[in-house]
Amino acid sequence: MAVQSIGEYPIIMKDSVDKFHGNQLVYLYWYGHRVVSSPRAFPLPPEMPFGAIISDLIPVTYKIEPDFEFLDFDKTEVIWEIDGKIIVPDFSKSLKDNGVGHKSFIKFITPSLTGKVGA
Amino acid sequence: MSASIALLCLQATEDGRAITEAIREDNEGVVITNKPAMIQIERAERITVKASTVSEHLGRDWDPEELQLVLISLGGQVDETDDEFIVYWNN
Amino acid sequence: MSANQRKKRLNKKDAYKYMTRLGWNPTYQKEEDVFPFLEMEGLKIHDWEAWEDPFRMTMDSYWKLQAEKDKKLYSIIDAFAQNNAQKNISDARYVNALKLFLTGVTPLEYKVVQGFSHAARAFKGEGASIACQMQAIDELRHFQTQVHTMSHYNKYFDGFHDYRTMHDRVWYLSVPKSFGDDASTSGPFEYLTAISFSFEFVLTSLLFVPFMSGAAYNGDMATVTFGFSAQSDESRHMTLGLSAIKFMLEQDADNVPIVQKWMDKWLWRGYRMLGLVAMMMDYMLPNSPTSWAEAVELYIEQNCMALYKDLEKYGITVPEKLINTIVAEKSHLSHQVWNIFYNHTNAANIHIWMPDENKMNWLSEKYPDTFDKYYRPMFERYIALQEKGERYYSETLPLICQTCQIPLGFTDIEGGNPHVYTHKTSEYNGEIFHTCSDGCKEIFDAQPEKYVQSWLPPHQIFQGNCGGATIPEVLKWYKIEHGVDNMDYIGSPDEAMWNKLKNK
Repeated sequence: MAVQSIGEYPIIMKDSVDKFHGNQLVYLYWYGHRVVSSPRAFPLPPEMPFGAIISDLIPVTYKIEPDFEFLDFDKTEVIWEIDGKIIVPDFSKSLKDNGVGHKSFIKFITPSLTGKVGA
Repeated sequence: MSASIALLCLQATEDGRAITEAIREDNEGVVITNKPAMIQIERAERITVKASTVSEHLGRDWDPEELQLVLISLGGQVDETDDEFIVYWNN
Repeated sequence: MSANQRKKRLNKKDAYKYMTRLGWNPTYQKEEDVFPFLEMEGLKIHDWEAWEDPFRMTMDSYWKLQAEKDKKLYSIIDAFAQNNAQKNISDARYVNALKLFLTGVTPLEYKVVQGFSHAARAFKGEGASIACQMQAIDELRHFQTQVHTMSHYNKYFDGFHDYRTMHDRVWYLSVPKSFGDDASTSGPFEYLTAISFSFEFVLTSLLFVPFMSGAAYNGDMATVTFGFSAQSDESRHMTLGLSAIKFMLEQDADNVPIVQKWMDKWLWRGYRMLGLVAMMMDYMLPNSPTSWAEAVELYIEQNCMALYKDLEKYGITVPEKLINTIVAEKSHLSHQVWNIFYNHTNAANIHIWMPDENKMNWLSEKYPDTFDKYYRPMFERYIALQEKGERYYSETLPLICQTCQIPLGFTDIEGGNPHVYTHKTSEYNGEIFHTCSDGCKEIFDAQPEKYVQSWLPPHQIFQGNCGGATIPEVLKWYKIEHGVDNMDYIGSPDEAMWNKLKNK
């Protein structure tokens, strides 16, 4: 259908990376967990080490989940997906170096921790 | 395949009740349900509101366009003349 | 004077013709300059005279009827205020449904004043133009009467004080706002399909009936009266919607696929926005007459399908995929949306709370396959945390859909993964865009140039456009007073006031 207009229709990229003061948008989702009502969004420096996701972002977001207390990144099996591709991240390297770009979607899956509440 | 149901919902006011009685008289098989503050009127395919019948029930001249004063909702197409207001489906 | 001796006057058909067919063909300006918006959407219109207004409204009857309705309505609003009838509502929790309405729906009424005025000017046929002009004035009336009705509640309850600012700024209100903006920035024919047909005909019962019967069952006489008064105008609007659709479909067979795409898009956008109503009807009403699932069964599975059947003869088909998703989601939607609001109550102008035992039992009964299995355990855990003083409030912001702007909180019911959030992506101009569903992705992909302009609240906050980087700063910018307008109902000033009123 494309946009109908009389005259030129401008291309306005409302969320282009230059608008975020040096940060980029990154989204985070603990697969299968529903207490946290949706994946979350963060403005992060591309140079931030990937490890900060584990030390800072995941706890502040997911500590409310009932199985969070069992999440131990040294012991629990975690499968990481960045923009749909399974990746083994290097936690000491930056987001950028791990392939996390502007508006990337990071999903982590823990087969032993399924997020079930009750049933 | 069941017929589509024509629907009229009227405010349960004095006028609404009089109009409902007129509809009951002129539309065989009409189903009338009372709800909070509202009268729900349903009938297969078509509901006809006749100005002459409503006028008798009200005790004064009534014009079909006055239906809008008590109309809450309708389901179906509309045809309005000087004498009648009709809600209908044409499937 | 009896009915048989009525004064002789012009019959309705002639009166309508003489009072509305007042147009002319321009002679010293080019027609395409006078009506510049008629070609761009690709619709072929051969005969504007074929536009029918079954109500055949002329200005004299319009003013007379509308004035009568307003007089009646304002008497009731006055009586309500004089008698402090807000004391007779079932519970103060109910008032949050009104806060949602005033900040979410009422500004849209104002938006469509502009939208219908524009459509009235854009259309060449007088029948279409006049129907749109009358609707524009109707919508102004709705806006005014809603504000008047709710102004009384503003004296006693929090969260009502700045609906205009909140509609423009608050995160969840970008859902209805973007709906209105999307329609208003479409061409006039799509606009009529979006608002008159999809919203005011197909989906109207899913918006108005829940709010108005919610009001009736919870003792809110003022809102019931406003609702019924507005609904009488809505019958004309519904008829305009149906006339518009039939007109477009009958004018040329080439119009059918264009109109079909619009109908599908706006069914989906409308449905997503009505998620707010789903949570309202299942959770905000102390006395709930009907569940969202029941409303879907009646108004979508039955009535909407009857309507599509009526249009089959033109070649219009049911959007099976979208309808299947709506039906599959019906037993989950309201609970998921309530959870989204529970997570983010710290940033809202309404209170949210966990249901009491009575309400939980009602939910179990209305949702026998889903509530006890997926949602009650989660909610009971929230209650246990709250009792320990640890009521959960999210410190992080959601990923929201580029199209419908709702957090990606819907799960994959059709795929058999009711615990997994649905998520789609698209690429445009080198950037990734995230949507919640196939329905929203399709809308984005059809017109990416439009949706890359979405003003997404979390992104705008991160860009620094919303008063600051912290939640307190953003609340200030939202004109939400922390600890007053937001947070749980339990512990709120509304609750304290209500308990005092009821001598609890």
